[in-house]
Amino acid sequence: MDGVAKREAPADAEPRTGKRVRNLWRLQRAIPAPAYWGIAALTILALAVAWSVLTYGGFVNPLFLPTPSAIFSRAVELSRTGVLWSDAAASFYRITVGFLISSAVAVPLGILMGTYKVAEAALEPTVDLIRYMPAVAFVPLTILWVGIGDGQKFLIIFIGTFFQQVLLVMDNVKRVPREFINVGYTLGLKEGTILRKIVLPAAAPAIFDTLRVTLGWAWTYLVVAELVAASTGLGHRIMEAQRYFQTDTIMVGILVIGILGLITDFAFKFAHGRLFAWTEQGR
Amino acid sequence: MSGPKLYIQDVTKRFEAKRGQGLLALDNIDLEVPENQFATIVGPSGCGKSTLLSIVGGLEEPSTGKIFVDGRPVTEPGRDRGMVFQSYTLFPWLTVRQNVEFALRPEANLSKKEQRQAAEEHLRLVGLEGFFDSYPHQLSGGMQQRVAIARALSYRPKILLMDEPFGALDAQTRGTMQELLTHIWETHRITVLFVTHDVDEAIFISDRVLVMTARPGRFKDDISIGLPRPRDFEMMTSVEFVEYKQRIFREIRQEHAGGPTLVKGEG
Repeated sequence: MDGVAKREAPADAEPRTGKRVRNLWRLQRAIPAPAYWGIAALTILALAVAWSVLTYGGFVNPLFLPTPSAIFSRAVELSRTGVLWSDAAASFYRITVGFLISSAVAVPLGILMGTYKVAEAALEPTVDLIRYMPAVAFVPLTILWVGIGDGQKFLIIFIGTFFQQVLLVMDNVKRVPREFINVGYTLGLKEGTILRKIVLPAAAPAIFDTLRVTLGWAWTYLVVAELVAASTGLGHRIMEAQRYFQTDTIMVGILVIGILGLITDFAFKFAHGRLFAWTEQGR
Repeated sequence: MSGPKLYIQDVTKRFEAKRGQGLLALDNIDLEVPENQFATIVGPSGCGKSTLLSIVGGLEEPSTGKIFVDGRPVTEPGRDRGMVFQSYTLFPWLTVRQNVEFALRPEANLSKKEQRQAAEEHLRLVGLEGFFDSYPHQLSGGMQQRVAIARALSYRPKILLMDEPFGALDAQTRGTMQELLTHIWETHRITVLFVTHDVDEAIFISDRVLVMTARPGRFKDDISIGLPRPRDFEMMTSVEFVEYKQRIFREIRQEHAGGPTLVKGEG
C-alpha cells in the first residue's frame, strides 16, 4: 500500500487529500500539530453550539440549563461583589494546606516503603485497607472529631489523597532501575548515599507527576467537604445556590473549579519541564 | 610473583525454587586470574556467567565458596572492583562529565578540580572529547557505554568486571567498541573479567577464554589466546582465529543436542 502510494507521488510532493485523511486514522500515528489543535477546538466549538441551540432555542428549561450569557453575567456579578473571589480564595487556601500536609507525609513515607521492604510490610497492607474506605463517608466522622472549621476540610483532603499518594510514590520509587542502585553499590557508596544521590533524583520526575495527578483528586474531596459543612468556599456557594434554584451560580462555581484545576495542572507541567528537562526528550 | 589478582574459590550458587529442587546455577567454579590478564567467560544465555560476575562484584552472595582480591576475601561491593553493565546505567539527570565525576566523589584526596580533570581525561580516553556537557539521552548506545567504561576506569579499580557491555549494541558499533576496548587495554593494562555470549568477541579481545556450559554452570575449557598484540580486525579471518572459534563452538554444541540454537539466544 505504502509503496504504491509513494510511486505515484514523490516523497516531498503534497499528498492527496484522500491519503492525508487516511493518515489521520493510522494506529498510534502522530498527526500534524495544526490538525491536533484544530480538532480539539472543533470539539469545544461543537459543545458550545449544541449548548446555545438547546438554551437559546428554548428546548430546555433554564432551571436545568441556563444560557451561556446568563452564566457569564452571573459570573461578572459574583466577581464584582467579590463573593466569587473570597470563595475561590477560601477554597484555594484549604486545598493548598490540605494538599501540602498530605504530600509532606506521603512522599517521605512512600519513598521509605519503596526502598525498604520492612517499611512496606509495616504500612502497605494497612494503607491498602484504608484506601478502599470512601473518604466521603468520613465526612460525618470528621465533623464529630474536629468540627466544621478549616481543620475538617484539611482532614477530608488528607484522607482522600494521602492513602493514594503514598502507594503511588512507593511505586514510583520501585520503578527506579535496579542497575542504578547496583552502580551505587559497585562505587562503594553507603545505603543512605545511594538513596539520596541515586534513588531520589531518579524517582523525582515520577513523584512530581504523582503530585500533579493527586492534586486533581484533592479538589474533589475539598468540594465534597465544603458541600456538607462550610460557610465559605466554592463548594459552599454551589450548595447554597441549589437551595435557591440559582443554576447559573452552580455552573459558575463548577466552571471556576475547573479553571483553577487547569491552571494548577499547567503550573505543575511547566515546573516539571523546567526541573526535569532531562526527561523531556525521552530515551 | 605473588598470587593471583582475582581468585574465585569453589563458588557454588543454587537458586531455591518455590517447591522441590532448586536450580544449580554455578557448580564449583574455581578460577585464578593473574594480574593484568584479560580473561573472558563465554557461554550460552542462562549458563550462569552473569551470576558469577555479580558474585565477584559483591552484588550477589554465593551459596558456597569465596572471592579473593589480592589474597584478601571480599564479600561486599567495593571500589577495588569496577563494573560495566549490559544495560545503559548512566544517570539521565547528570551530564556525561558529571556521571564520571559522580564515581570520583568518594575520592577524598582529590579536589573537585582534580576530579574534574580525571573525569575529562578518562572521557578523552574513550574518545568522547566534545561531549562532556551532553546528557545521556543525547548519546547513542555505543557512546553511552563509552561513558560507562570511562566511569568504571576513572577511580582506578584493581579489577574491571564487564557484563556483556556491548550486548545491546548493533553489530557495527559492537565492532568499534571491541577495537576501542582492546586499544585502551593494550595501553593501560588492568585485570579484566569479561562476560559475553559472542564467541568472536571473546577471542578477539582476550588473553584467555573460559568456556562455560549451562545447568549446572561450570567451566568446560580454559583456552589461552595466542594472537599477537596489538590486535586488529584483520586477525578475525586468520587461520589461528578460526581454529579457536571452531574449538569453542564445538565445545558449546557438544553439551547440548540442540546445537546452534543455544549459541544464538540473548537478543
